[in-house]
Amino acid sequence: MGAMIELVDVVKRYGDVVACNRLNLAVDQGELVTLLGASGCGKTTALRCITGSLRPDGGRIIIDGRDVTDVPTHKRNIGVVFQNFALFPHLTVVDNVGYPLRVRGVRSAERRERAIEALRLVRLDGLGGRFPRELSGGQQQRVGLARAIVYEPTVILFDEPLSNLDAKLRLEMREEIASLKDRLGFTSIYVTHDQEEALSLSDRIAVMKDGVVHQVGRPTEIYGAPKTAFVAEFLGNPNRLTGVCVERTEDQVVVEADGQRIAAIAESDTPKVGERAVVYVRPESVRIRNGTASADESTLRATVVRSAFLGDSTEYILSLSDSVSWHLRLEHTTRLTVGEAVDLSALRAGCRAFALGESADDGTHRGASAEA
Amino acid sequence: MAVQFLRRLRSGGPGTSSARHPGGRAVTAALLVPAIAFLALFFFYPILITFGTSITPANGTGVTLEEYLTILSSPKDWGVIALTLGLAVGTTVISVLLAVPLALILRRRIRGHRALRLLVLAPLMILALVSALGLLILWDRNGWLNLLFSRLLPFSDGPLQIDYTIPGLLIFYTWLYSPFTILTTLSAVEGIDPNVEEAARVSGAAPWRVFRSVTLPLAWPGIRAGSVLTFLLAFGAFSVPLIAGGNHRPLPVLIYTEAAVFQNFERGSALAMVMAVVALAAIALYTRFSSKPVRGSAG
Repeated sequence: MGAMIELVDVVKRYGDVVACNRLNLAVDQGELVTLLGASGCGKTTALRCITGSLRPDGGRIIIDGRDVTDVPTHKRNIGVVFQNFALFPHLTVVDNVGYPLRVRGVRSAERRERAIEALRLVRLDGLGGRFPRELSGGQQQRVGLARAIVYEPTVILFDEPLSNLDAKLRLEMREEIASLKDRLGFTSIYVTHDQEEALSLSDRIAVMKDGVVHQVGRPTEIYGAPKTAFVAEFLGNPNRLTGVCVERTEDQVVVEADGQRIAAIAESDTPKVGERAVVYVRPESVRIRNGTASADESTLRATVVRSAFLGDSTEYILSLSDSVSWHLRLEHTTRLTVGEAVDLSALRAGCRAFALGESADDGTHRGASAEA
Repeated sequence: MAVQFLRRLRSGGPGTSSARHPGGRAVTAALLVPAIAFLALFFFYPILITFGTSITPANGTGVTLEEYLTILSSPKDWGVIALTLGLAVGTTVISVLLAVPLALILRRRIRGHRALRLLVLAPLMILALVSALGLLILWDRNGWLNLLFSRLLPFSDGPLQIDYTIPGLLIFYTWLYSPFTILTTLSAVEGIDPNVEEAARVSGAAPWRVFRSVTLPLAWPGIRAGSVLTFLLAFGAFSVPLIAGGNHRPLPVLIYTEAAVFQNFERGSALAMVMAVVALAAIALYTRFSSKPVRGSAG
C-alpha cells in the first residue's frame, strides 16, 4: 500500500535477449529509488516501459493505483529528465518549461507565472527568454528539471541525468536534485550506472544485472551487506581474493588463496568447506599492520608494486600473489616504497565471501565491472 | 535561398577568416575572383543583355517600355503568369503534403524503406523529357491507368482525360520536382532527436499535438529549403509543359515560342524579365513569411 508506482512481474524481450526478467519494484510516495547497473542491464528498458514508449511483453505497471500498462505515454502524468536534456530547441526556456502546462490547457498568464516559479526553484531566474542553445549544459539540464517538476507529475523519472555533464557540474546538479526532492517531496525513479550518484541520492537502490534485480535496499544495506557477488563487486570498487573455503563457523568463513588466509562474514551465498570462493574486501577495511592484529582482523602479506599520487592521498597497488593485486589508499603520514614488503590487516566486517560456482561466473563479474 | 546563401557567406565566411589572419583579406578576395568572374560572365551579363533587348524598340534605337506595357495590359499574358504561378504553387503544396507523411514513415526504417528511398530518387535519375513521354503514354485515354480504372470503377463514365489538362500537368510536375522537397524533408525529420518528441509525449501531448508543436516546427527549415527548390524548378519547367501542356502554355513555353518561333526577341526578353521578377518576388514573400513558421502555435 502507498506505492506511487509499482512494477509487477514486468518482462521485456528483444528477440532472444531478455532485457527485463520479471521485474518487481514498488516506490512509495516521496521516495527516490535508483535502478543501478552497467549498460545493458535492463534499467533503461524498465524506464521506457514506465514511460510507455515500450510495451512490456508481460506484467503490469501501476501508477498511483491505476494500471497504466495499456495507457499511452501522454496520459500517464509522468515527468522525465533526459540524459541529453531533450529540450525543445525552437522554444524559449520559459516556453519549454511551460509546455506541459500549455498541453494541459493552463492559461497563458498562469502558465508563465508557474514556469517562472519552476525556473526560480532550479535557480535559473532571468534566463527565461533565452533559447536552449544559448545555455550551458548544466543550465540546460536545470531547464529539463524545471520542465519535469512544473506540472507536479505523479512520478519523475531520471534517465542518467548527469551523464552528459562534466565532473564538477555533476556534483552540483546532484546536490540540486537532492535539495529539490527534499523541498518538493516528489516520487522518483532514478536510472544510473554511477554508484556514487546512486549511493548519495537514493532512499533505496535496486541493483540490476541481465534484466534481474539482484538486491533492493537502502544504500547502507546495499553497500554494507551485499547479497550477491555481483552487488559486492559492483559497489565500492572492492579488492578481491579467490581461493578455497577452508573453515566455516557460525559467523565467519575462512578462505585460503596462495597460502594466505582471510576471514570474512558469510551470508546468503556462503561457500561450504572445500568449495571455491571469492572474498570481496572493502578498501577502507584494509590497513597497513603495525604491531599485532586484533582478533577480528586477518593478516596478509603483500609487496608494493606501484604508487600513484592523488593529491590528498596516495594510492598503492599491492601484489598479494602473481595473479592478485589490491589497491589501497593511504594518507601521506604513511609512506611506502615500491618493492617494500608489507603486512596488511583486513577487518572481517569489511570482507564478504561468496561461493564461486563455475569459472564462467567469475568471468561475467569481471566483465560487469569493466563496463561500469 | 540565394539570400540565405549570401547571408551565410557574409557572416561565416570572409569576415571571420580575415579577422583570424591579418593577411587573410587579400587571400579571401583572391579566392572569390573565379566565382565572381563566373557569375559576371554567365549570369549578370546575359541578364543585362536580355534586359537591354527588352527595352530596345524594334527599329533598334532609343529606349521604350512598350513591351512591358503590352504585357501588363494584356489579360491573356496575366493569365499565363497566373497559370505559371499556380502550377508552381500547386506542385509545391502537393510535394510538401507528400513529403511530410512519407518522411515520418521512412524514418521508422520500416521493411523496404531502402527501396522506397531509392524510388524517391527515380524521377531525378530519368531525363525529364523521357519521364514526360512515359507519363503521357501511361495516362493516355487508352493507357494502362485508364484501362485499370475502367476495370476497377465500372460506374465511371468513359476514360479520364489527364494528358494536356492542368491536373495532368500538376501530376507530371509533382513526379518530376517533388523529390527535392522529399529529400530535404526526410533529412530534416531524421535529424530530429527522438527524445525531444518523447519529452513532448511525457509532458502530456497527444500524437497530433506532438507533430504540430514539435516535429513540424523542427522539420520546417528542411521542408522550406526543399520546397523552394521544387517551386523554382516547377516555375521554370519547360520541356514537360512543351510536350504535355496542350493549350496550357506557362511562361517558359511562351517565351520560347515568342523568341525562337516568332523571332520576337523584344517581347521574349520582356517576358523573361517579368518571369524573373515574379520568381524573385514569390521566393522573397515565401522566405519572409515562413522564416518563423509555427512559432505562434507551438506548444
